[in-house]
Amino acid sequence: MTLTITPANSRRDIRTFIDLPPVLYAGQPGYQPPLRMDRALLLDPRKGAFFKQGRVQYWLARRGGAVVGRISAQVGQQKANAVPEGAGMFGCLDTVDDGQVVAALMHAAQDWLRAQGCTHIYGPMLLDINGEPGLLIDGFDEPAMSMTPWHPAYLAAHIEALGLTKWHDLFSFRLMHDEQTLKPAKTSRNRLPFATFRPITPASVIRDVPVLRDIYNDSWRDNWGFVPITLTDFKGLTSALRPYLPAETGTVAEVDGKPAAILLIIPNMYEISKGIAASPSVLGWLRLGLRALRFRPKSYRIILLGIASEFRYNQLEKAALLIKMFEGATLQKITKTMDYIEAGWVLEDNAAMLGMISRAGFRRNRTFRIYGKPLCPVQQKD
Amino acid sequence: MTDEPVIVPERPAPPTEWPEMTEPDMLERILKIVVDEGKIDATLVAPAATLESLGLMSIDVIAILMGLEEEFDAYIPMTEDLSAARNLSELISVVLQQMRPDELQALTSRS
Repeated sequence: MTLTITPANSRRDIRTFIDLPPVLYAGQPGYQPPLRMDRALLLDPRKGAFFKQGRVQYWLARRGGAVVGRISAQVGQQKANAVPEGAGMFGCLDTVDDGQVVAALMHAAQDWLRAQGCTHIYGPMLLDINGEPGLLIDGFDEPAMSMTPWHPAYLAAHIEALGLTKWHDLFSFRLMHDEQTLKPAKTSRNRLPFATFRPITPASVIRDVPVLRDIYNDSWRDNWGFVPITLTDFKGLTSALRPYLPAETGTVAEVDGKPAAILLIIPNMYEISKGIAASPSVLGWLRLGLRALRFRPKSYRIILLGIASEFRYNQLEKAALLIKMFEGATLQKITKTMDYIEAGWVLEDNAAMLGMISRAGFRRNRTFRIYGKPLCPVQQKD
Repeated sequence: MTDEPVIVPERPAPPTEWPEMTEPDMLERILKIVVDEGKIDATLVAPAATLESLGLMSIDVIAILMGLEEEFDAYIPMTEDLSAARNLSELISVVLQQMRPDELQALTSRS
């Protein structure tokens, strides 16, 4: 049967594009579909924050009338740090186990990126590094976690067969309650007398959005692949999660009255939707509503931890501040009622963060790989 | 441009000995904490071993400091000197200087 690749531009095709992964991956161990409404917030051109600043094209692969794959290609307004000039992204790569389908979709994405003037392709990104970056290459059976991508094991081989190579790995880590090693520091001495710490609560989180955004954009700016996050992105995330946040969901450290470091922990929203279809029935919505009302999260994710570059103390004081933020009151409170907590993602070469996480007893549970390659120019025919 | 010779400061030779201790078993106790808390290979421990060669990052040094404070019931402030230590001998030397004298006294009388 003929394989056809077509751009997904109509409302109907975009709906098919957003709804495809649960159709392809239903029943695969480790896969839990995200709620369709959550995906639409990211991928629907009328709702997604990326569409306000970037150019995006979607494609669908069909064989014999059945949709067998999808891909996106996208170019952001801002250049990602340390990636080659002129690099464009691919993303949303979800297909059946068929190298021909992956090749045809990647071909379409590459042609479109070339036409946009791109010299390299990298990804997958949904839709950029501030969303869900990377292809899952390890940890397929781990329980689903908020804002964490899932892919079937066969995709990596199909991508690599097309000449894409590893550009960067991202890791996530998990700490189980029963192996909890987060103990208060050995000495109760205050090593940071110049810093004060205040909690982020559901009541204060919206007010703290500019602080979280500013420190994120400041402290991550030298990281590989970084692109600044917008206030809209942050407001969208915190507003959606606010009703479900724990009583203390983060910490802001202040030095001389100015924010110097942040920690933000979010609940695992997949707990609410477990066992419920991506597009729930009336009964499914009822179950979702009841669960949401009684939601007491048992799993969490440390999604942000960073220090402002303005914090001009010596390396040891910076390290002490990082430890204090990481192992401080917020996490101590959450670990009392949780089953497990994840930390991530962390760049594979962020030695300081990796060292601290492993010291705290976390174990690596997932690896996400970002692939890339130069785009060969189109050969002109004489 | 001037004709004055450029004077390159001579780099001190790597230390071959540990700093002098006030107690006979003190060095042993310090090095045990360095190895345990720094999670380093004990066979690599030497006065001239650089923190880099031992894979010790700032986070590890903080853990070592906390271990030493607990072991010696002392307070070791995070000074620039400590932050600038390049090898184990320098690190231990600064730690010994930074420990409060009264707490060193307490250590001596307790041992």
